Amino acid sequence: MHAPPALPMPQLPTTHEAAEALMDAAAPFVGLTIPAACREGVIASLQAAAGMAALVLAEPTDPTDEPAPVFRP
Amino acid sequence: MTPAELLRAGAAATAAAVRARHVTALAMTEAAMDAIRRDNERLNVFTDVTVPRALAAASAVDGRLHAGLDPGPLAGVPYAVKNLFDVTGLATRAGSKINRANKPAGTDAVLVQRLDQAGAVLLGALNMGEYAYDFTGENFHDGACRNPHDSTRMTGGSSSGSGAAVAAGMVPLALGSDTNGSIRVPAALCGVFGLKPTYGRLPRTGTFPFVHALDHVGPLARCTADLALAYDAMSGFDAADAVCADRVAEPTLPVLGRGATGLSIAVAGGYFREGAAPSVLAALDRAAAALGASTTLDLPLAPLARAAAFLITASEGGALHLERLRARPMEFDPATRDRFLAGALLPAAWVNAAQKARRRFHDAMAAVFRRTDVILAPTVPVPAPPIGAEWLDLNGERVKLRPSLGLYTQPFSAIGLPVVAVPLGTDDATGLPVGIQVIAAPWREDLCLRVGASLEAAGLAACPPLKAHP
Repeated sequence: MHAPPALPMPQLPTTHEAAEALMDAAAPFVGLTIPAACREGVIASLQAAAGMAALVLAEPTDPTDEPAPVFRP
Repeated sequence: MTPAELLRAGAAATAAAVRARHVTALAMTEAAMDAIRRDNERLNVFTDVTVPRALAAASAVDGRLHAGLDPGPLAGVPYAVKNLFDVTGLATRAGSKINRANKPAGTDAVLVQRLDQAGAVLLGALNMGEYAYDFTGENFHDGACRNPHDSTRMTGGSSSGSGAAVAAGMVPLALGSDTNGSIRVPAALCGVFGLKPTYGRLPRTGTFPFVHALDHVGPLARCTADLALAYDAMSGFDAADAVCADRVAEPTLPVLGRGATGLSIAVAGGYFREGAAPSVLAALDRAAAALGASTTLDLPLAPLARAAAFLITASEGGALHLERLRARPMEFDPATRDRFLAGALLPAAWVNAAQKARRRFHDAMAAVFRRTDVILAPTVPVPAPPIGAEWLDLNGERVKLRPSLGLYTQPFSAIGLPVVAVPLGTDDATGLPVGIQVIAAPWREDLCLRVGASLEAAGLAACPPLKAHP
C-alpha cells in the first residue's frame, strides 16, 4: 500500500539555465572544477539526468519502502 | 577439423578435440595467434596479446595430457578478457588512458584463475569503452573496435573486444562485464551469444569496477553449450567480492538438453516493441513462435527501471572517479568525461528515489516470475550503427544513440536478472546480426540457457557467418 503524496511532485527544471546553476552550485561541494571545454557537455548530461529523475521522483513510495541497497536478486 | 575450424566451432568442440588428442593445445593457441595477427589491425580487438603466457599455458595442458592427467573441461580453449580484468603483468587499463600508468596486476582476476584451472589458455586483453561507460565500442585512446561483420560498423559496448573477438573467430570464448547491457549489446551487434548471470553469481574479484550496485561479469561465446561450459567452470563463491552469493554450485551443462518444453514463456511487449527495427521484432516473433510463447507482457515499470539504472550509474560512476575527475579531467575519453562529471553532481534525493524505483521493478518482476518462467525481449533496437553515428531514428523519432542502444537491456540488469543474449539471424537490408534476450528469475541461468539451446536446436539461433572482406 502506497500512501498518497502529501504534495504533488513539482515539475523538475530541466532547462539549460537550471542545469548550469546546479553545476556551478554543486561542483565546489565535491571539489570539482568544471573545465570550460566540458561545461556544455556537463549541462546536457544534467538535463538528461533531470529527465530521468522526474520519472523516479514521480513514482509513489511509502516511507517503509526499502531501497535497493538491501536488494536480494 | 583444422585448428582454425575448431576456433569457429567453439569452446566445447575445441576442448573435446584437445582432450581426445586430435589436436594439441599448442596448435590451437597458434591458430588463435594467427587469427589475431590476420585481423587485429583491421578490427582493433586486442589491446594486449600475451604470447609467452599463452604458449606456456598451452604446453602445460599438452603436458598434462601426455602424462595421463585430466587437463580440465576447457582444455586448450583459447580465450581473452575485456581489459578491465586483472591479468598478471598487465596494467588493468579498463579502456582508459589514466589507468595504464598503474602498476601491473600482481595476480589474475578470480575468473581468469578459474578458467586457467579448467585448462583454458589466455591469449590477451581486449578493447573496451572507457571505464565501461559505453554502448558503442568506440574508444578515444585505443580507437574504435570494429564489427567483424562490417568494419565500418560499431561492435557495441562496452565489452566491444569481447564481442568482436568471438565473432571474428580469434578466440571461441571471451569474458566481459555488464552494468547496463555491456555483454548483451556487443553480443547482439556482433552476432554471438552472451550470458549476464544473476547479480552476485560470478565473482568480480580482480576487475576494475564501474557501478558496484550493478556490475556483473560473464562469458561471450559461439553457442549456449560454450556459455554453459565456461559458466560452470567459473561458478562458485568468492568472499573477496562482497556481493558474491555463497550458494551451492548449480551446473547448467547437464540440464542444457532438457529444452523448453513445459516452460511458461512470455514475450515482452509495450516498451520493448516501441522503436525496435522491423528485423529485430521479426527475430523476436520467430523465436516466440518456435517456443510457443503466445503471452505478451507489458512490463509497464521498465522505463522506470531504466531511469533508475541511468541515475545510479551516473552517480556511482561519478563518485568512483571523483579523484581522477578533479586531477586529470582532460585525460578522460571525451565521450565519458562530461557524463562522469555530471554524475558526480547529482542530488542525493534523485539517487535514493532511483534505488526505491529499482525495488519497485524488482517486486513487480518477482510477481511476474510466479507465473512465468522465461521472458523474451529484443536486445538492441537496431542492427549495428555506423561507427561515429551520434543519433538513431527509432520509429521516426530522432534520439541520442549512446543511451538508446541500452534501452532494452538496462531494465533487467537494474534488478540483477540473469539474461542470455541470443543471435537470431540478420537484418535483410544490411546483412548485420540481430538478437534477443532470454530473461529468467534470479538464479535461473539454467532456464535462459535451455531456451537459448532450444532456439539453436530449432535452427533459429546461431552466430551468423562472416562475409568475406577485401
